[in-house]
Amino acid sequence: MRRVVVTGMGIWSCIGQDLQTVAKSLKKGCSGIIYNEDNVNYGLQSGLIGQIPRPEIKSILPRKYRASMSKDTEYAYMAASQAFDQAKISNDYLKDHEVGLIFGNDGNMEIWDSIPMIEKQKSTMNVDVYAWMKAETSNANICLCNIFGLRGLSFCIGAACASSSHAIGLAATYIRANLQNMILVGGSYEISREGVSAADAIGALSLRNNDPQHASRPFDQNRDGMIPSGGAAALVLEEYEHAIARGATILAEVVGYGFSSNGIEEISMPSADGEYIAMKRALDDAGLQPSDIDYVNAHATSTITGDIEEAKALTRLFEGVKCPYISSTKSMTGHENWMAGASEAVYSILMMQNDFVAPNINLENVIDEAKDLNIVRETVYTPINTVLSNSSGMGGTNSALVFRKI
Amino acid sequence: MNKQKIQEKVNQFMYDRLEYEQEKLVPTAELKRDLGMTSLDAVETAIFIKRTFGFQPERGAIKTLVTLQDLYDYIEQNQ
Repeated sequence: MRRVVVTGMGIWSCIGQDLQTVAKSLKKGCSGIIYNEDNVNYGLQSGLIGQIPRPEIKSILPRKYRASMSKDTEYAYMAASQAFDQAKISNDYLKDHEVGLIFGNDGNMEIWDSIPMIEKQKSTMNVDVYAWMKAETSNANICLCNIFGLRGLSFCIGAACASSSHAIGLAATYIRANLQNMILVGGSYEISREGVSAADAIGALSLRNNDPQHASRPFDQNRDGMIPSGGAAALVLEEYEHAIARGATILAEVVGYGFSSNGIEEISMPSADGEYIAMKRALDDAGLQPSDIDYVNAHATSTITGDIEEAKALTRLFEGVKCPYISSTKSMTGHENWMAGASEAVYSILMMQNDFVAPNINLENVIDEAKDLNIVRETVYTPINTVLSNSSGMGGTNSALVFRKI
Repeated sequence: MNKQKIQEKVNQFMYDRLEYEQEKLVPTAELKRDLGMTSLDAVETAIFIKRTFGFQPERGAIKTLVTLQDLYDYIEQNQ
């Protein structure tokens, strides 16, 4: 079977906007969460968000590319550029070869900017002519294909917070099937007040407004909700022989992809069974046993129910074997939503490259359901060869990926 | 608005909003070939005309114009 490897990565997140800075933040256990008073003044109960700087895109791209970009696509462009640079993919290469693009995205709020104006003026005359494109979930695909001149397959995956994990799994499936040799994958998310207001309304967000850096507490008894965050992450996936032939540096191999849906009535209810099936399927796909895993990057978002169900799934998966190191990097980044699967793949591969396990910060009193798990509270310096990255999304979609050092 | 004012307003819009290169904004410049006007730029130009000169260009009218001078003339004749 054709093997799939990662030859480039890029990241634009609240814990850094380049790979080196992000690796340092992960190692130090730095939180990227801040309190944003504007959100509270707007009417949200929670003012907590990941602090994501907006790139100075105007100095980089001409208007013909920029005008149709939604904010999250600006992040996506920065991450994609880094990934292509690291993979040594030049414009000339892109002209001569077919490269695909699969991004994870499940919606953005750009069109909302125009709605009050349309209602007031009873006219679409003053709507931003690019609002249509900006509002599309495939905006990153539209814009990145245009900017980089990509000519391979291109679509986005909408699977809530598992979107970009599925994007990686699906891209690997296409490459394995000999349908593409190289696909840029990733995910992007822009925190908008409108976008997070519904999560705020149902009480899914942390209310530790006075203590932002300690607010995201996956697996801790005193967690009280997630913190919306975002940015973008991108990875260049490539067929192994293809990468070797062009002299690329191989960062990791994608060896397993597993998926499931919960199939339960409660739409917002995560499921230990569903997550277990996805993770077990990813291990089976990789031809590995649970005991082969060195580190698990958990999905854990610091919500009351989600962390419990994932802890149950992980306890079942590693029953009878030495539990690998586990942490949720969302303790530092908050919940990066559509971007999370891709960003956590980047975080995990950075740990593999630099021989450490990032801590699950803010974990003081572990929940009962996770007491048998080896959740890391302080950075561990150790070689990591095989990683399992777990993701879940609202509505009961699950995705798991296994990466291995080569 | 007189010819000179129309020219100034149009050139300012094209430089500020559409980010066309200032030195290329000459009357003989072709909108598509020399300035790189896209179909969505043409829509934005129509909106600019409605706001600035008070008339609504016919749908697709801007795309039929060839040069910048054609655009100045079109505005002058229809304002």
